[in-house]
Amino acid sequence: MGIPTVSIATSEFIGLSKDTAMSQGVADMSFVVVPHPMGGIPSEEITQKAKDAFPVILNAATKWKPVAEMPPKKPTYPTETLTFKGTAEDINTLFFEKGWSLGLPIVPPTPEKVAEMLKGTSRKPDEVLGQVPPRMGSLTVELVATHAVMAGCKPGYMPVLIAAMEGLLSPEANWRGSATSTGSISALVIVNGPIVKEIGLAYSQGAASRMHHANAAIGYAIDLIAAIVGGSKPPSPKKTTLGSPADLVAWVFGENEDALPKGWQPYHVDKGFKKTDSVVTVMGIWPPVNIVDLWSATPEEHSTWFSHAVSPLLSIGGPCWISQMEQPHIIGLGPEHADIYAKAGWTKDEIRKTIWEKTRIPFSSWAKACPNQAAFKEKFGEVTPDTVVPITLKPEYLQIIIAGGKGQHSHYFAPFPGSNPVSKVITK
Amino acid sequence: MKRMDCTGFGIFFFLVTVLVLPAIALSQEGAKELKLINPEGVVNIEPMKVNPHPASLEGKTVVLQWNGKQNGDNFMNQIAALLNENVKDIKIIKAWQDAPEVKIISQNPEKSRQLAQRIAAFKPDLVIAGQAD
Repeated sequence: MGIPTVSIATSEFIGLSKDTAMSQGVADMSFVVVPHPMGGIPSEEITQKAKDAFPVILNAATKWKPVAEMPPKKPTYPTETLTFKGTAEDINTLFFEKGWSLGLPIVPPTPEKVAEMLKGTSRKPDEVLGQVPPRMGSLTVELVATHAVMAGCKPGYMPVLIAAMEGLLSPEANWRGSATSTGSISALVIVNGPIVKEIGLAYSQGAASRMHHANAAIGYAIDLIAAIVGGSKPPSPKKTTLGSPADLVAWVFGENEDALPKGWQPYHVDKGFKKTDSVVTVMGIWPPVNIVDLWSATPEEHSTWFSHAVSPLLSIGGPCWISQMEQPHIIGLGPEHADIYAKAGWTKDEIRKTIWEKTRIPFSSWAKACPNQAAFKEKFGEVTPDTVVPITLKPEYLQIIIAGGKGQHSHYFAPFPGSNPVSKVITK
Repeated sequence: MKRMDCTGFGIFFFLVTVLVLPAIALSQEGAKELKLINPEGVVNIEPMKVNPHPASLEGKTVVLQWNGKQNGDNFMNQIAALLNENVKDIKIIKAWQDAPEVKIISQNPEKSRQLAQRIAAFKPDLVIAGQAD
């Protein structure tokens, strides 16, 4: 299109803005910086910021000329190597100082170890899976193996890791958004099918917790790739206000298919895959909500408790970001909670419909300044402050998995705006 | 005196042999020359051509774009007023008013393309876009 543009960003976001332009092939762009923040301040301050910025905007509009150019292209394969003399500790120090690790120890990625890791997949090492946002580093299969080595993976984990990468690289996953958001967003990785037991991926007690090698190593490799190939590092371009330990080791667990109540299908079968398929599902999530319920004995009681613990406000849903109401959210029922429904003969459809009907709060709960209220009114028609707003536009958006082992806990995984659960078949 | 010198040297030699050399050796233990793979990966992006900016905004069409984040519209309204006051015959289009569908964060490349096309449909000479929190 080539239309000249002046882009205005706050002082806290100018780095992200420039990185984003660069990642789209614009090495130099006309930017104007205004002091952070814009949100949550009175209108007089906004007026003053506009007055202060106006001469700069006018100058940028008519005087700006590009100076920088994009760096020359390099081959994506084979990956560059370096020679280094030192101990394992020295290598860890080097990698951390270069921004090639997250602060946790890594296994030095020698060509021999990477070659060994590549034996875990039939995919060609020079295959480019995509560009990891926001830096848009080219991710080859060889590079996935490199990070797998660094994270301590076994070759057998490679098919899961590659499929997870393919899922995250899908536009539907909105990896760029979750990699740069101010929220504490991390990757959720759910694995179904025979591969779960083949590689020893934990799916029951404490599956997403410690002491499970496959889960930990795959989760660590995913975050290494996000930070190093994707460049998603705080304070910029990863703008997370606080962040979370899931920025170091992503959420990875198998669905507890052994604990599925009679007649219930695993998650991947719900999504149209064969039961014998091995499937990975990825999604960018807010920190999950742990819903403890030691008291409910009936579906009615549990769904009521659940709906009070989960709110449309928990995930900035509703009219603030209406897109979030139009994308799937994941309910991770603990096996004991699933049994409450199963004993009463409930199906997943009945559960999601009941929880959907109960999980709502009044429209008046949202601040007037929330954007997209007009879009919300388009969906719901005329609303009053007392209109109750559901957590999603349709009950079908509530997807159910069996998560974890014994204990009366369920979890709610709310999606980052624009990040849909993307499922990919795992091939060896 | 000579004998004391010998004793001193002996003690020094003993300390070097027993304490210092092993410490040096220990610090070098495991030090190897290794070839390592650079884990960053390369960035290969097609350069995008940026058109020259107009020399003046007089008589030009300028689109103001707001992504829906709080106060961005208030800021842009102020900029619109200042442009009207200071630039002769300028035409201002507030995209979020004329095309409310652009008042969003795009979330994926395809949506970004759609937004850009919608804004381009105004046939502006310049776009001023606000972003971030």
